[in-house]
Amino acid sequence: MLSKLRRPRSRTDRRDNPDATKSIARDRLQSAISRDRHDLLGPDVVEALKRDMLAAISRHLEISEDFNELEVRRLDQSLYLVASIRIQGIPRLARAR
Amino acid sequence: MKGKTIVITSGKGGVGKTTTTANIGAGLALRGHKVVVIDTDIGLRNLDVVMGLENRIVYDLVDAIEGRCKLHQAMIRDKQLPELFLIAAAQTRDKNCINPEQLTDLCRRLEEEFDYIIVDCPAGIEQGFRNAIGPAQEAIVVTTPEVSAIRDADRVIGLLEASELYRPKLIINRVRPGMVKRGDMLDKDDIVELLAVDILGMVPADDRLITATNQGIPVIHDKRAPSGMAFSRITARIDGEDIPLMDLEPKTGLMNKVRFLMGIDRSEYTHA
Ligand SMILES: Nc1ncnc2c1ncn2[C@@H]1O[C@H](COP(=O)(O)OP(=O)(O)OP(=O)(O)O)[C@@H](O)[C@H]1O
Ligand SMILES: [Mg+2]
Repeated sequence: MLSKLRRPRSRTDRRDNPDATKSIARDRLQSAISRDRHDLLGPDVVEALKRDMLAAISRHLEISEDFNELEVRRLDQSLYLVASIRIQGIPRLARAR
Repeated sequence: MKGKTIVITSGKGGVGKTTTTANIGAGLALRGHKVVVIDTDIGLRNLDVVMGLENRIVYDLVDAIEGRCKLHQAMIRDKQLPELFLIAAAQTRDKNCINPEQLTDLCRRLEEEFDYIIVDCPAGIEQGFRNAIGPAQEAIVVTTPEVSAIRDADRVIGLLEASELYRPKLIINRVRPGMVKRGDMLDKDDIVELLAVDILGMVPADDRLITATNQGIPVIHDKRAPSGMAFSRITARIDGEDIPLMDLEPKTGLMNKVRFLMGIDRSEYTHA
């Protein structure tokens, strides 16, 4: 009784309320939003990125025109940019001296 | 004079766009600006009743766009604030009867004469949304602290940015501080982190807002309403004032509890 009087807010001030539902809401939202953003990522954005990346890489390495894959993949909560690019040759200048 | 057009949007329905439009419109007029609010929810008009002007409508937005009346004939003067005007949505037509270019033309004309044009957007992301965001130079996204509303807000923020409305600002409406405190409602930090946007303010869930709306008076006129105070602060921020964001606190204090239990004061919260 006394302790209740002294700490009148103890019932509402449960920072670490084990039953708190907001962390569930946050996790579900994080996953839903990341999925939506992935689904809505425009194919034109990925194509443009692919073009720029290949141009940058070919300044350093000889790469083939085909067999190049670039995609955005979702694993658990995160998005990954996954690239598979076939190197055809390493220019003399790029070799270690 | 060169005014600014701001769209109030959300994605999800019923989160408080129309309420926010009415209160920001009134708030800016209270601060001495010339303001027009436009209801673009054609077929489901509501801003007129929220502002208590439903009996004064002669011409509407579509009449003005289709040239059945002069623009100023479609502008209804507010009851309290002589510098605040409403352009009502047509009730007997649908969202496809106007296009973004027509609304943009209309807003450009209004910007010559007014400081702020506030556009109330319909729910959804279809034609009505396209129309409403067309003329906007800035966007405000309204959400509630719930999963579905926040997810839709994220979708809408993406669409706004794709339409070159960068950095929309967020209003979180219907916050219940007691639930936030218990850990049963997402708080502003969670929401801001999830959506990666700037926050313009928070508005508590407030019974006084409902009683004000019943009377067709925007709650910002009710000096004792926590939601009205929240809208005043939001309006000041829109108007360029640098006011810090305060956390909404549940009312504690014995007298407040007694008042609440006795039904003298039905709002659960202190300030905004
Ligand atoms: N902070 C609040 N506290 C209490 N009630 C609120 C609050 N904000 C809005 N409401 C109520 O919620 C309801 C929906 O609000 P409003 O019409 O503004 O939403 P909306 O986003 O414009 O809806 P729609 O998508 O249908 O156009 C109204 O009855 C309004 O009075
Ligand atoms: Mg509405």
